[in-house]
Amino acid sequence: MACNKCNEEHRETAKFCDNCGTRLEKNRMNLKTIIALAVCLSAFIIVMTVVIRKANSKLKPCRSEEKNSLTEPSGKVFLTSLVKHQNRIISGLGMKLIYVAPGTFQMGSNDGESDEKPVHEVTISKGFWIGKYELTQREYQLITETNPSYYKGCGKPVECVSWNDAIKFCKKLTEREHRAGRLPTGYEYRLPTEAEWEYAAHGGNKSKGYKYSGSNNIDKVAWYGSNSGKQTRDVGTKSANELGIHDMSGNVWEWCLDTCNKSGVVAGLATDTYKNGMTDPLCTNSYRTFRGGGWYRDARLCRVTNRAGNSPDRKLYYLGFRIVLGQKFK
Amino acid sequence: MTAENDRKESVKRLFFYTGVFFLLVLCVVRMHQAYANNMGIDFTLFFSCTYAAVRGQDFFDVKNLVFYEWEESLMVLPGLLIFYIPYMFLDIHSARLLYFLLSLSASVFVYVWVFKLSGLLKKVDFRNPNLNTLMFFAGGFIFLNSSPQLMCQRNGQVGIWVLLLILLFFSVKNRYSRSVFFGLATVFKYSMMTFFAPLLFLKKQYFICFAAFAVFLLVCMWPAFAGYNIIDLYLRYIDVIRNTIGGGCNSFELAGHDMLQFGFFRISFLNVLGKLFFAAVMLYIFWRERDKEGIGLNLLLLVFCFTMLVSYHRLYDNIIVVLLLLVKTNFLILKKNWLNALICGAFLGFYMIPVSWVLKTADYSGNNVPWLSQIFYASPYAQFSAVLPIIAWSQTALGLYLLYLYFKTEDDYTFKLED
Repeated sequence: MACNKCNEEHRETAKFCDNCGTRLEKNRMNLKTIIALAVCLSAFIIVMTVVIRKANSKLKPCRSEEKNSLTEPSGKVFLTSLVKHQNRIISGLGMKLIYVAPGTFQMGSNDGESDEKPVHEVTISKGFWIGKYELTQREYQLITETNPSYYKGCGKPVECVSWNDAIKFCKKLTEREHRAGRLPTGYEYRLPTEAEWEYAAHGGNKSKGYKYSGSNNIDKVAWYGSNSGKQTRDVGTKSANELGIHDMSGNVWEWCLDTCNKSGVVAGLATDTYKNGMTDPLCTNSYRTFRGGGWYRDARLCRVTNRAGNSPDRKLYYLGFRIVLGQKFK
Repeated sequence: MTAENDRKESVKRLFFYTGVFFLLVLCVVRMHQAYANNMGIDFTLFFSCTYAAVRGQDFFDVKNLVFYEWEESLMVLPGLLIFYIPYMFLDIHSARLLYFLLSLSASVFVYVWVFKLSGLLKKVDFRNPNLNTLMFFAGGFIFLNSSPQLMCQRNGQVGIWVLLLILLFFSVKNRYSRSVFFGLATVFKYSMMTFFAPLLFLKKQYFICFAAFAVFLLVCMWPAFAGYNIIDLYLRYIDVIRNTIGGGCNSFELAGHDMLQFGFFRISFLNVLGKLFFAAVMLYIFWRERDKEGIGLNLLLLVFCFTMLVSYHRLYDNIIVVLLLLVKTNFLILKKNWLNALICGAFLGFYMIPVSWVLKTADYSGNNVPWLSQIFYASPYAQFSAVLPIIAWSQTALGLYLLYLYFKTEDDYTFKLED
């Protein structure tokens, strides 16, 4: 051990310098220093926590009047609009549905990932209604009485829901609507097939062939990694696509009904003929597809042809869904 | 004359600190890149597990990990999650940033502290910069920009906390505090104690060993207070270890690109033989050291380097070896042992090369020298198809060189163990 003043070397046990008499300091922390460090660290964490929690507390809780102000058409009006292929609102939920007329489109992309290739023609033989917005937390809560979302907000899309949860939600909603006499037999609420999803995202028979759903300028139509502030956003706050549907690119990824072929080799076989749990008849794994990109990643993933998949029981904080009203698959 | 000297000194100081400022800016840029580049895969895992744990969910079931995209649940010691509970008050992005800043601060602290502990800091003159001052700042730059340190920050790994706790262990005199620090370091990463714990035992630090083990058990049992069946939980943990190391994403076959352990031969017998060799050498050295006071710098370097070689570790865990190697290099330079300083510097230089370049080279060799891939595992990683275990080779070379240093150079500093 050396003296700080005169650099004279001493034994470790020495307390004073033999040369200049200075008290020798050991290179060791004492309890006071450790306590001081621990206190500083704790204070730092507490201050950070308080600041960030205060910022987060600005979020408004769901208000009941929002629920009451919704337009609730009677069962009769609802059934009439079904026959006339009009856009509709689900009673008591205020959930708006947009009618997508049948048609033929080019599915996939030759410029994208391997699982988007090759581009192939798909015919949507039956029209269907698709949610104008991604399913919100308020809507999910009204049906299931739970809200598993990480980023809380009534108008924000529900996330942290598995494919199984989404299916359960659709079944509950279907039963509710059947009981209320607002849904004729042969119709059901369900998730869109991949083909239906991509057709609607392209703008159906009004498609202008945009890269993202509704525009080639992603900032105009989607909440994604660079503009979302790293969280989900209220649905419908970006421009709609050609059919008037919002957020098909960005905000949360959306579960589809189909199984997902990750390798993508047989993606070209997808059709709207949904059999045995898939539109892709050669698909072998149990993964389910999700589409549309989300708030936390780059623009590339928000292209309408981009695909992703995961296990049906997986819940992720960027993964939600959108419902479809259509004829039951046989 | 004096005024002239003062002017020269101030010009020298100005040049020196301009250089230091430039290094600092480079450091900040690298750290920003480390943070911005999809930071915190391991932190995200720990955060996800804690988020599930505080909700009473099974955090070994990957479907409950809502922030974690991987398909396979990884090895997370249930006890470790207690350190992540405070982050539950924050949203994940703020938590990730806070963790990054805390671990970065810890990195700066351990670097300064190890210089203070080893007495090197006393030789540094900040007012009139000399060789020691240059080595201090250059060393800091090397440490903060070394691939293990950067990967540790980028992944949100726990190696930095182990390093901090080990240094605190040597910094306090009180054996109770030492037991707590050692116990907590063990909770953070018990695999890094493979040789350090037996060394303490052989050095007759019985109280510290048993008390630290008690601390380890106590912290590991916290899930019991949260309502978990502790036996079930740890049985599942063992299952996860078995699955991920035996053929899962922690095996050399599937993800050996940045692994450190001696397990890169396709013939497993050679791997076992190598590990046995390192373990046997370590035991022999322990025997030699049994009556010596404290733990010499050479021995400590060897202990942690060999730990990396015999048990599952990745590049980010090498942060402790890089720091000790820096200290050793400083002493070698001060003693004008240029050859060994140069070799140590070369190893440090290897850690300064961006990992992506190392992997690119390893992939190029793996694809173009077929016989190498027949002898060694050449694993796929991201866009690479056959990454040779260059990082594990370099660790093996470092281990053998440190063995040579242990026998051929004297201990420049001894970490004290007595109360």
